[in-house]
Amino acid sequence: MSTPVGLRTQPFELSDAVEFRASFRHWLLEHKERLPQSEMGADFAERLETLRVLQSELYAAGWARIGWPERVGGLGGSAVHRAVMYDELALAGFPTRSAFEHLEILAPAMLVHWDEQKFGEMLSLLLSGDELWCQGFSEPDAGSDLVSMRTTGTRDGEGYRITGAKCWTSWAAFADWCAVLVRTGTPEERHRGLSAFFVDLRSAGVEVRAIRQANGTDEFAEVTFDNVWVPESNRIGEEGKGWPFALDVLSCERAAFAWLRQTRLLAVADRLAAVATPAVAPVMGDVVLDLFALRATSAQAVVELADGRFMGPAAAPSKSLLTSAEQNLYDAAQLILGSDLALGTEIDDVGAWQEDYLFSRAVSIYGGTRQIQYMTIARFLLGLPHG
Amino acid sequence: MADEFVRTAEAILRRSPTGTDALLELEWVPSLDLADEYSAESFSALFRAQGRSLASTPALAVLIAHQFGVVDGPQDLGTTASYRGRRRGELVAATLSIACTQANKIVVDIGEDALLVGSPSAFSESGAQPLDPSCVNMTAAVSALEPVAVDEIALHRIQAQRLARLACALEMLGVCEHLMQLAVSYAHERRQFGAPIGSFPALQQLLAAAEVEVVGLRNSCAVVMGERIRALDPDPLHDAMLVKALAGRTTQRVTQATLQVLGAVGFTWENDHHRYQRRALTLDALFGTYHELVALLGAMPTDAPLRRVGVM
Repeated sequence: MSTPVGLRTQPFELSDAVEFRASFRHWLLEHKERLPQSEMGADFAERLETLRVLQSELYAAGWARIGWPERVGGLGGSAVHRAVMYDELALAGFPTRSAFEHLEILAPAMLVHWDEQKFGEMLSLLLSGDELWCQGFSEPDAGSDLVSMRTTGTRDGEGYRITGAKCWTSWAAFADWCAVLVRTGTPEERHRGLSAFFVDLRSAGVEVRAIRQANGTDEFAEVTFDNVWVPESNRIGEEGKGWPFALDVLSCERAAFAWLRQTRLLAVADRLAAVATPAVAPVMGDVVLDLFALRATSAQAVVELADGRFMGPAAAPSKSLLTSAEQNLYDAAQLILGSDLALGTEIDDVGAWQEDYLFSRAVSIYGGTRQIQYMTIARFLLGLPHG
Repeated sequence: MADEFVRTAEAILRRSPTGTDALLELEWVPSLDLADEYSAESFSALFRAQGRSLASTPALAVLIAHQFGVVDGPQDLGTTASYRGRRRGELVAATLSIACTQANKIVVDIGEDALLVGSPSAFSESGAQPLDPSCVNMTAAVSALEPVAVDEIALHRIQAQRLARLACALEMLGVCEHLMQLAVSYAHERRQFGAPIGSFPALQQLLAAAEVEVVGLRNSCAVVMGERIRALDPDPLHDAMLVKALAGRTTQRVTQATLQVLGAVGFTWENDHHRYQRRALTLDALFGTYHELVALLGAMPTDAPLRRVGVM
């Protein structure tokens, strides 16, 4: 692909970030009319399709390639450039990145743990909006205790055979690829017996069943693997080294993702402030403080990632701040919108508020529960003794 | 680098907790430029260390007085007082200064276009004792003070208020950091039911929640004070108000959580916790309390969403 007109040809550096923000904002402003926008409350598949088109537009204009090294098909730059783009997209009114959030959850860890050529090929297809990814970690009986997972991978010639079930897998019904954590060793080996694979969901033996949800979206799915063959080249990292990969993914899901999410929450806070009365100013002020602390802390994670470092246990405060910021924001929405949130008699976009409110309740569960985050902080950051 | 700065400053302040010696040893000058990385780091380190050590230097007062051009450095001491209103023709001033008794000038900002200055001998203690024993409330007759001619006083006042709020927030961060250190250390030592209390999930969750608050405040201070994160938030506006309000909320939560872990009660002499709580409450009371500022933040206009979190 040729370098798009208007983009610089030399690699992007961190110091360019301020200038970069201005140029991306300008481009968005110039092209906003023709870029696709989807409304909250529209059909879920339709919303996802709109996002795909937006992603392909960003790719065609070159923006989507910024923030990724040239050796994997990017134009240089770092996680800071990507973070600035998410900020500006949300500010310009574009909806949440939903399925493309794996650019921040899976991709940074895959870049480090997987073969760069293979990763580069896959990344280009995600960046261009042609394909979608999902993350297969949780199982019906392995949630917070992820290491107790039962999905197995056994050697078979130049590859592996994977058998088992993953559950609560976001975007799986729409995704083409899934990063799956499986047990290639014995259960007694615990985390040392795990390996990670990038599995083509179109392979024979894969079945994806969407889970009907009560909030109007069908984001989750159950994915079963029945003796699915995966080439060795799709193993992410060495055999038995799936846990370090999983930890880096979880670090991103808890920290850098929090930056992505706060861009959306700021936009929601703005909508809420527009209908808030002076009487609830202190409540809105607390929401602002939550977002300020979240933004500052997740920014730290973005800067660390730009320097090639994952946060590890230090990601837990970001996720904890995201949890309180998002839940407090929608608690404020319940206060400010009053009975309308449940009854929808006065506000036009009540469906969107209801959907978001229900989603906000789950922030303390996904990506590691609030209790797991606190346990991580107590043990690894504060060094408190084991019980 | 930043942590080393704070530890060094803390060690110096613990050796010389009052007066100007510590400030001179730290080579601290009030004519700082926060855009300069070294100045910003030394500013952060001094006030964080002051919160950790409960030192009572005149740094805050000198800093504010300097904004009005009244003093030049720690050797020329000044302090400021907040104006609380006139009563029977007498100026009532609540002193803000920590170690204000060492000052040779007290500056009183009475709002509008007026600034008054006088020597400490013009003031007398009002009798009402602030919670923090290093503060004192003083009053003075208007006739005993001189007006100060300061050009563009409103601009100086904004800058003084901004720096004072940043300084207080950083000192409150230091208070929180020290209280966490005390509580975590005690959670290792104190045994009940045959085990250290820090091994009990209920206390682990309490301390972890408090640590989340402290991390949020520390990162917010870091953003406001610059560092590389500036690239993400290129143009902070009302940053000092945000960080001061957050510091007030954080200290409220952290002092309570650590009081609980320490079994500190909070109003007995046996545990140091109460001294930090007094300092935290006093700092919250200066330059806008958490409750006052949070109401202002919540009432901001809605035409610029990122502006509320300090981004242009």
